Amino acid sequence: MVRLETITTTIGNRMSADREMGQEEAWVLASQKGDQLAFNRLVLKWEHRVYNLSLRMLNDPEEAAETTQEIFLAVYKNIKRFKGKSTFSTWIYRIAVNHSISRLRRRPPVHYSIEDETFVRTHKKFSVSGRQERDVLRLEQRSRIRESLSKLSSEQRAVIELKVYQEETFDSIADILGLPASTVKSRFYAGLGILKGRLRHLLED
Amino acid sequence: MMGKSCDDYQELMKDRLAGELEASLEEVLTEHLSECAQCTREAELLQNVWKELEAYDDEAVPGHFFVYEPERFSLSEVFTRLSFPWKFATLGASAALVLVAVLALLTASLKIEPGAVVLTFGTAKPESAQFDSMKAELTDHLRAVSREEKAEWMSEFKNEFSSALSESEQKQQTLVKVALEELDGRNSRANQVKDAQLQARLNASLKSFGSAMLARHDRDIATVNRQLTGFANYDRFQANQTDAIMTTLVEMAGQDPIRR
Repeated sequence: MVRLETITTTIGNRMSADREMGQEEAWVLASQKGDQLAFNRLVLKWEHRVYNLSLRMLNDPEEAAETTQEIFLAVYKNIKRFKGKSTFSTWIYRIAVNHSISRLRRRPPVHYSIEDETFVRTHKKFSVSGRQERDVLRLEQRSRIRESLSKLSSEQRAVIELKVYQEETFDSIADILGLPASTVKSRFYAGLGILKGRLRHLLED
Repeated sequence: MMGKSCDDYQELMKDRLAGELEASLEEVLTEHLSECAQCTREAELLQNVWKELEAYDDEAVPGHFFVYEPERFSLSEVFTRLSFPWKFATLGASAALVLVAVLALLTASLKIEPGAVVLTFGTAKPESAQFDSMKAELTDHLRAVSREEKAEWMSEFKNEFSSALSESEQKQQTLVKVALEELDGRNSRANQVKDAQLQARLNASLKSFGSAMLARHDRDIATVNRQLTGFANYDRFQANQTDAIMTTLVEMAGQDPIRR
């Protein structure tokens, strides 16, 4: 337990990039030899990004948690196949995006989570204090963005996610998705176009 | 830069937001925006979209996603973890197994016969030799039995068979007869019962008819009697009245002369 806490704090403190890379490599190598502790250090480092990726992709906290667990299980089962040809981040993003997309495709066509909206509405009625109001506004904005993102195709959503939130370059997104960079770009353009159309619509309203 | 449409500039705007716009194109875009009001509006809109997207901050994980795999033990590790009686039992059982296997292997023999490879465990009993001798004896005996004897057996058997056959025929016939008689008997008995029933029913209905008739007869007689007595009473009443009138008349006739 003490060890895990120290790891969390070190990651929280954001170590210098190259040291982090070196450590990650060491953890990957150890995991490939069957070291579960090393693997769970990788989980601790990546779970935040992976969970938020699938949360934005799926727009459903429960499903996102399930998918994240699936993703880490897949990473665990396949880690011996990771040969270091691409970076570990590319590899794990590929697994995460593929799992989220296949989860989206397994869904019935219309999935709409009203949880956030009802939550916002009930809060609006009763809350008055400044901090609560800020929270409500943030929740409102979040649900608006989630709803907008849900209008994109799963492929467009994946590109927007990797570009905006994971701050990957077009080239590495192409690498992650196994697509030519031109396709990635056109999906990005189309996705932003749709989001812009929605925003304009909201402003005109 | 000539030949670029506003749509092309939109892509440049998006590239710039993505942080992947080449430095040389940066200037071109800025220049166009200073001239084109529509593209400036679009750029602002896109900027707002981007801001909104970026405002979506990450959420905390609901729990950790650690992966655990159940530990796997080697055979020797499992054995060392066993308690003493289990160790003893396991050892004993495996020793017995080994003993049986060794014995089986020691007594095993491999025989190659035409069309089959035979693996036998244990020593073979001289069963086949015994069987062969018995077979030979039997064939010898059969050969020794002459044809005449055989014919005699056959005729004897035929006789026996035919007598048995006739006996059984007779038996069958008697059985059929008995059955028919019984059937007849049953039929006549059944008819008798039916007749009696019919008779009884007839008697019953006759009886009820007769009694009904009698009752009616009685009723009629009673009615007639009632009427007759009625008539008789009326006659008597009339006779009384005439008598009374007559006496009154007589009295009146008798009185008048006295008063006068």
